[in-house]
Amino acid sequence: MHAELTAATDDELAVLRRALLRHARATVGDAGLAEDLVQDCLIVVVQKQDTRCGEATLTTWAKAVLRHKIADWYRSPDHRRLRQLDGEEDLVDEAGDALFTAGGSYAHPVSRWEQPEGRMERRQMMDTLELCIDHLPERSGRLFLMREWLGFETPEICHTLGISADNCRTILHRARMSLRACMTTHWGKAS
Amino acid sequence: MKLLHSCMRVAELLSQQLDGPLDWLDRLRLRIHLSMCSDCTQVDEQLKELRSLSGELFDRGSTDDRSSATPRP
Repeated sequence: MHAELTAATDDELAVLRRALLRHARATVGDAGLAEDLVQDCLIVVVQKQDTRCGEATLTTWAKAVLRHKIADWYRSPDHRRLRQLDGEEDLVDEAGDALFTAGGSYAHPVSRWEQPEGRMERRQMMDTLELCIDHLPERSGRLFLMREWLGFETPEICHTLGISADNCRTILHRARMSLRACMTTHWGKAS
Repeated sequence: MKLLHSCMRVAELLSQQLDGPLDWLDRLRLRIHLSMCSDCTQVDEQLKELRSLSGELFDRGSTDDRSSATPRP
């Protein structure tokens, strides 16, 4: 897009900032810290936007900068000042339990998802996923984003957040199963 | 030794295999179960689709090459 190849306007920056804040808050779980990280990211974006790779859109590039800032922060000793996650949410998962029968089979047949046709529908499918991620419980959302966005391996997530490997696996699994259920409800079953 | 896993256990393994390799016995049980169970096959596809959609959503590309998203100086 032509607008993205020229200097970002104030409006574009405001829209970008909101998008970045959404990801940052969900990934670090602290609004003040998310503001700081996004601020640092925007400084880089504004100062270096002329030198960035031409084909990357402003948003793509800014998200990549933010991803590195958050990953660096998690890997620095500073992250320890963040409140610990353990005990914050109950591990009981009623929705997950209702998915299966007592014998461990699916209580209802698993529906296929509607296959998106073309880029527009694929984009809509991603928007649905983004809303589903927003609705994950805080801890599940953070672990999912650390794994799928920051690209952390699970041992690093356990170590960084001070949770056991079993707990980490369980939370990630429940996050994925919740997202799967959310997508089935909101994206749509194939007819 | 239990040769067949329940769908509930299979779902856990399907998620786990997105984070690292399973041991040979679980891989075997998984293959046997998936060959007989359409529900779990569907869940397997959907979990993989979630990974692929997340990759696109976060503008990281759909491959494992995470360096592709490295910001340029």
